[in-house]
Amino acid sequence: MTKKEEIMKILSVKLRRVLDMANLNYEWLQEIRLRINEPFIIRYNGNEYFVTEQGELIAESSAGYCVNYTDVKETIEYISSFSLYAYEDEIRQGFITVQGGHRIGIAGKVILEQGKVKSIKYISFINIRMSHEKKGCGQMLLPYIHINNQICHTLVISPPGCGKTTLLRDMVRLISDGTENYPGMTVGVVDERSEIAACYHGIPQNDIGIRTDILDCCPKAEGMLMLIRSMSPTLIAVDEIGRREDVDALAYVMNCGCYILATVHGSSIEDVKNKPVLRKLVEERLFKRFIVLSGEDGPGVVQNIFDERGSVLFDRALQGA
Amino acid sequence: MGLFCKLLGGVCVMGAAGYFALSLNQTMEKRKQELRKLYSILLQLKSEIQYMYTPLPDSFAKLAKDEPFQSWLVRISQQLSDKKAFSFSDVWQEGLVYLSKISTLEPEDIEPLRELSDKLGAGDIDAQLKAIDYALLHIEGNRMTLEQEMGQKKKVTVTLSLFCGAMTLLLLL
Repeated sequence: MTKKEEIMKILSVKLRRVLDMANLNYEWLQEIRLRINEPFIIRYNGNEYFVTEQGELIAESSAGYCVNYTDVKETIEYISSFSLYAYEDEIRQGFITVQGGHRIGIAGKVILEQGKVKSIKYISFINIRMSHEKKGCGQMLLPYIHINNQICHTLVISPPGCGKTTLLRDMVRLISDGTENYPGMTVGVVDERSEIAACYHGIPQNDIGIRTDILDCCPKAEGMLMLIRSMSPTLIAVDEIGRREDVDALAYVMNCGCYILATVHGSSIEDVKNKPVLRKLVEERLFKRFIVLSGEDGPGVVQNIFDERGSVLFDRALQGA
Repeated sequence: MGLFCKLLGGVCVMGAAGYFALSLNQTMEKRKQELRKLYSILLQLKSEIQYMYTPLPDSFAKLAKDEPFQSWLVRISQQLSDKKAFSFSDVWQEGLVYLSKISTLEPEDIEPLRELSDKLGAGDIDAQLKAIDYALLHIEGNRMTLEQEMGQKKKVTVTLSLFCGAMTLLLLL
């Protein structure tokens, strides 16, 4: 199924018609936003556009097609395959992953039960984020995260939206498949938000390597321990660590002799050090490599690579010079 | 020769009356089997929703294993997967029209299924299970009523058919 078919299948009939007339290149389509009684917005090739009923991409919101209640209701029906009950857990988390690995974020009125989110009703806002793989973006990092052909515990530090998940996914694929210089190894992925592998009905929609096992929608701390017990991976990959139990689980996994490839929100090693929960990771030198991304030169661009002592192994500014 | 023709005619009339009675009884028997199968399908659907959280298109595809409802279930699963209908209700209502054509089920058997059109898929799991339980109750009720009446109805059908055959024969003679 092509990317276009995957997207058309989940949109309301009216929106399908509008988007079809727009004649888009779906490789450049990044995001679709639906809000009841608000204009139909897409992010295309890095820019935001409003789409008219005739499928024209314009910058002026007033002429854009106005999304109505039926569009959103119908879209939700298609996204959930007419079975919202089957996606209760996903709805509680605020997103559903559909075929092709695209992530559908939803918002509306939250229903609470004993102070915790039970579900979302009156879903009125939908954000469709297209899944994009950037194969090869982690290739240049492989020599930096290996010492004597042995992989190191690696932490990717990046602000939101700078491509850390994309980078992590590609690194997982490369480590799992193996390359000319580095043999493939068994990788376990705890994909709490279905972002890395984007599993749909348990099948990864993204290429994450031939030796990769995935625990989909599983809390990270619990998932890491489960993988150690059940799949005996050589390396475990997790996205966006941040809670105390995640850090404890990481330490346990490392003690078990398993390698870790993780990502964390932050702008630098100092930034990570300033976070009480994450400080331990840097100060106790649990990680041997730190890869820092920044959005300055575009998403997914590596700015620096440090070792556990803070020595610079790679500096983009110097490389450029 | 004339007597032989009359005898042959008589046998044909009585045979036709007997065949008519037999086919009516077979229809009743088939309806009973279909009600039993429908009951079992709904029970499986209930467990797919309750324990497996399987989306409806996949549930119907799983249930479409054997006759007599295979084509009906495949059709519904296909239409839901195609995502061209506006709602589950549209697909379900159309599916019930098809079901009434391919089965011997009576309108009172299909009516409880009609009630599911705005419940399946839309509500939470509890609401759906209650709706399925309600349909199960009615279908089982219809099957039991049919079973109770079947013996008597079968006898009446045979007697009436043969009686009609005999009356026709008398008139012809």
